[in-house]
Amino acid sequence: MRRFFSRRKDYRELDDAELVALAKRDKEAFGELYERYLPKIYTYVYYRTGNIHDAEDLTAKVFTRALSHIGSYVDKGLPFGAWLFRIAHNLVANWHRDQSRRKIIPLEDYVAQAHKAEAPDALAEASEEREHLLRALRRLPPDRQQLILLKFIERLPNAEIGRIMNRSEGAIKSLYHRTLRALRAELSDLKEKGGSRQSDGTEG
Amino acid sequence: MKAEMNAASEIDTQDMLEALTAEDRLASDADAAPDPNGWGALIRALQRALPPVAPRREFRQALRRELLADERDAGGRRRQLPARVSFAALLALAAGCLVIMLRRIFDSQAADIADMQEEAVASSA
Repeated sequence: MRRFFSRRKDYRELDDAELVALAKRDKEAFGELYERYLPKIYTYVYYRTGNIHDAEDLTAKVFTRALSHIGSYVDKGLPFGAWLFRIAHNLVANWHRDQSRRKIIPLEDYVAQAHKAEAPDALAEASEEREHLLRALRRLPPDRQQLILLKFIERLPNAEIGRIMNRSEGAIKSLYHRTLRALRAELSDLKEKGGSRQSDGTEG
Repeated sequence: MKAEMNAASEIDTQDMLEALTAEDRLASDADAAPDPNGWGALIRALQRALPPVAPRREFRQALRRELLADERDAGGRRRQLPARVSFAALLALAAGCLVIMLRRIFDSQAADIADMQEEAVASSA
């Protein structure tokens, strides 16, 4: 009787695996997973796309796809978050492919405009250094961008990043080193181009 | 021999980058870390440049509503209620049904009495 009158199950107390099992038949359990992972997935997609509109659109697609496939989700030891990030990664890759077909605005200009016009307040005051860095980051191959975002935004350990990216922990360490080297090269390239344009009088 | 040294150096560099990226190291003694190539500056710049971004509240709420839409029908809403509220609702529903049934019974009895009274009046007349 006491159990009957007790408060309903508090989903916040459950771990991801328990919630996933419940979410197969109870959407409220999925709602809790949504609350847990929305900020992470949104942040990841935002930095991969560079604007709020597409970040929202793709984030919605990630969760819609996750909801429609959660019934067939099988726990193979991969964290639920990793599964979501994989979905996000695939959708962002498709989005970039579609964007490159359209070729309306060069990516760097597009990113710069997007940040100036649409970025949230906290990001609107981005320094020139930060803009350079984000531009350089977006010039890297998608897997390297993904690694940087998972490491710096999600602060995931190498082992988990490896599970998301289908690589070993050692391979992630090595890729991280190569990525930082490439990023540094892109940054100096951007600075050189910026410097030469300024000295030519084509900018500023 | 040279290849082995290069591999060892590569692993050392990877370990150093991992250490520099670790939050506690950056927060405390980043300057003291052995970093001859200045990787720490790039890593710190990345940490500054990539703060978490919060989605708009309207978007968050609208997407949640959309995802959980099927649960918003009457059955879904009932399942959201705490057990004691469901029990109270069930009791109220049962009581309502009982009142309706009793009224029907008493109304039909009252009608029978009225009919009998009318018949009695008619026969006496």
